[in-house]
Parts: sequence; C-alpha cells; structure tokens
Amino acid sequence: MLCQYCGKNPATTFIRTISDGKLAQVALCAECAQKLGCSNFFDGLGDSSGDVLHELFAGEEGRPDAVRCECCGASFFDIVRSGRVGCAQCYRTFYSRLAPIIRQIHGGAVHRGKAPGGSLPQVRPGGRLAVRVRRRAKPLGGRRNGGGTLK
Amino acid sequence: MKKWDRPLGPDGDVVLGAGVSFARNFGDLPFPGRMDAADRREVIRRVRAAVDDEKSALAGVFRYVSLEDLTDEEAVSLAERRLADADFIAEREGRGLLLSGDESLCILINGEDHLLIRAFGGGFSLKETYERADTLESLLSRTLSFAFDRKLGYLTPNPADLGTGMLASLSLHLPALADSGALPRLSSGLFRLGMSLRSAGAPAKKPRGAVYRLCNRMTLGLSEREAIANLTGIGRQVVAQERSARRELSGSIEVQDTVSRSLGLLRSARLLKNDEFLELISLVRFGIAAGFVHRLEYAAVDRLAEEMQPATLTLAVGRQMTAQERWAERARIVRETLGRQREPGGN
Repeated sequence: MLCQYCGKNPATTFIRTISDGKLAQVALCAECAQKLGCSNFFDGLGDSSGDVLHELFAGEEGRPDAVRCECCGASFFDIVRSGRVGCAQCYRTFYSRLAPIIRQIHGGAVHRGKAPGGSLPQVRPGGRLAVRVRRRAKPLGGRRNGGGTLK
Repeated sequence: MKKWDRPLGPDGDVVLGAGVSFARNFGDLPFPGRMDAADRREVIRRVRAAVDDEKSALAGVFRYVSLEDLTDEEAVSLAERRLADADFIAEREGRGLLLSGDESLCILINGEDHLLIRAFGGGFSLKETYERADTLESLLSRTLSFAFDRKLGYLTPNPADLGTGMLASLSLHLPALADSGALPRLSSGLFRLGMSLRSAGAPAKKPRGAVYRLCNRMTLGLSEREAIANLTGIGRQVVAQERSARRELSGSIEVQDTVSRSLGLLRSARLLKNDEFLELISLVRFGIAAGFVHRLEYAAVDRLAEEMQPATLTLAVGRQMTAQERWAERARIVRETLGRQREPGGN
C-alpha cells in the first residue's frame, strides 16, 4: 500500500492516530515518517550509506549465544528490531554498538542539561532487577558481556 | 475544569498553547517494552506513592486514572484533549495517568517511558510551562531515582530522547501559511534547525482546522533552557510569518465572504460533521484575528473545538449516539454557543 501522506512511496510504517472518535492507523513511507517524527530510528539507519546497522549486527539474528543484557534479557538484535533499548543497563551492556547510533542521532554531543539532585544517589549502571530475575538465554562458553563502559 | 480560564495573552491570535514533557525512567527495571505485569504494577506503585506522600508538596494535587478502567470513549477523549497520544491509549494494560484538577499537569505511566511528566499552558507561555514541568520533575525526583548517565543524560528507551528527555511544543493556528502552501518548505527548514512542525492531529498535508505543533527535536548537547530559548525564538518567527500571511489575505473581500459564510453555517446548520466543523471554526478563529468577526472570544472558540470532538462530545452527552445524532448534537451546541455571542441586529 502507498504512503497516505505523499501518496508516492510504498508504506513501511503504520502509526496510530485518532480519527472520528476512534483509534485508527495511518500508513507512511520511511521518508514521510521521518519528516513527521514517527520513524523507528533504527529502521532509518539501515538506509544510510555505509549501512551502520548491517555491520553492527551482521549474523547476530537469532544466534543462541548472542549477548543478552543481564537486567532485561534483551539482545542487540531485539533492540534493533524493536527500535527501543531494553533497559537502562543496556546502555552499558551494548555501549560500543549503540554509540555509533547515538552519534548519528545526536552528533557526538554530551549531556549539558539537568542532572538528578545532588543529594540523591544516582542510579548505578550496574543496578539489578528489583522485581524478579528474568528468564534469558544463557551465554554459551561463559562469554562475557561485550562493549565498553558508559563513562 | 479551569482549563479555559488560562489566559492566551497577546499572541493568542496564533498561539493556542504550550506544552513541556519530560521522559523519565527507572534504572532497576526493564523499560516499558520489556516489562511484565508485575513490573508495571511496581512502577505505578512507586509513582503513586511519590505523589500521595502526605509530606510532599504534591499531596492532593493529582487523581489517579487507570487506563484499564476507562471505556473506549473515555480513552479516546484523553487523546482528543491532548493529554495523551494515540499510542498511549492503544494499550490499556498496566498503564495509568495522574492528572491535576485543572488538567494542566499530567504524569503518564508506562507508556513509552516509565513516566512522562507533562505541563500545559495557554498561549505563548512556554517559559512558565517549562518551569512548572521542571518543578514537578524536581519534586518527583526527591523520592524517585531516575536512570541517568553523566554523558548520555536521562536514559530512555528511545535513544532519540536521551539527554534532557524534554519535548517542548507550541500549538499554533496557521490557516494563512497553510493556505499559501508555504508550510512544506518551512517544515523542511525548521527540521534542519532541530525543530519539527507538523499537524497537531492525524498526519495530513492540509490538516483540518490548520492546527500545528512546533516542537524541539534536540535533547542531547543542549540544556533545557537553551532548547526553550530556541523554540521561543523560532516560535516568534513563525508567528510573525503567519501574521504577515494573514494581513495579505484579510484585505480580500472573497476571504471576508468565506469567513462570514462559515459563521453563518455554524449558526444555522442542523448537522455538523467533525471535519467540516473544524474547518469552519478555523475560519472563524482567523476571522476574529482579522477583525471581521466580533464579540467572539478565542477561548470560546477553542473550548468549542475541543468539546465538539467525537468521543469527548459523546461523553458529555452521556449516551451512545448514532453518527447522525452526534452531528445533530454538535450542530445544536454550536448554534447555542454562537447564538449567545450574536451581535445585536445580527451580522
């Protein structure tokens, strides 16, 4: 089906909207979705020259020994497919693979805004799940978490 | 509801309102995309405890609404009133919101982020609205520990929100710019400047009612105040361009005629579909600004525009209606409201 905004390109994203008192969907092509701020950012990257995404997770799809975040169980492939990071800890677990994506969105910038109150302890990146341990694929052969640190 | 008492200020001819939101998440739980039911309940428990704490400045400010308890109309009405978006109300389980009495403060729980902390204001009140949202965030962060990194800022499931996690926006009525066809080029230019300008409702090339939202897009590398200052500056320019485009149109007798006919239709129609109503009321609002429509306040028009939205109207009437009954009811209320504002001797 064609993009309902430009009517030219094939639709790749469906975004939810309200129409006539009900939930509805609008079909958009990648270009229009990005212009309207609705794109799954990770999809958009796949089109860029150099194909950052493909390099980053080539061959990762469905591997039983894929690295998984200890906190939420997400693999990097899960993150790319959903377009969303699994938890705060993922930013540490997958830092080396997320960093180029973050750079692509924000251009190498670092945070210059508000920080949590000085008297509050900051959440440590190594914080564990409070509620329960999630079932997750165990890494084969004791492979360690990949990626660098956040600092 | 005191929403319609919010002063629109000197820019009320173009600027309908301002909104500022902060995305915040906990560091010790999965983000909403990977939470289970127990995780969701835990997030709700934590946030409710933070606002219900008797010793907190927030005590008594909010009432909690669970999305699971809402009817379809009630949920859609939240989106029509711009308190939440379509994505938030689409999934009801484990989601809720905290709403202040006058609906100017709102905390969405377990949408895309654990918390979306929001403040709304009338007219070009961006700075004041930012300060209210910021104060609310600060009060919440006294008891809630938000995931944060020195370099990446506030950690969010969407990497595009990293940093300040702030989305600031202005709701703008741009009928003249829309009519002139200038908006696509303006949008592209603004996109390159780190802003986005898009239809406030469903994505459309020419949205009904010509209401648009101008938002900041940059969250990492600039402070909240810098982003607010940028949006304010760009907002002022867009307002000036709209006013200039309106001046060009308002001299034309054809335009005056279109506005008069729109008002006439609204005052006499027996059936009003929502799309047609939005178009007509937009022309009337333009007419007020251009000086052809008298004795009608922006606030009355804006209130009508919101209250006549399909789900919101159905809720107010209090019973299910067929589509035609809804069109008739809308027409009746609009006739009544505008009739009360009629000039002596008619116009």
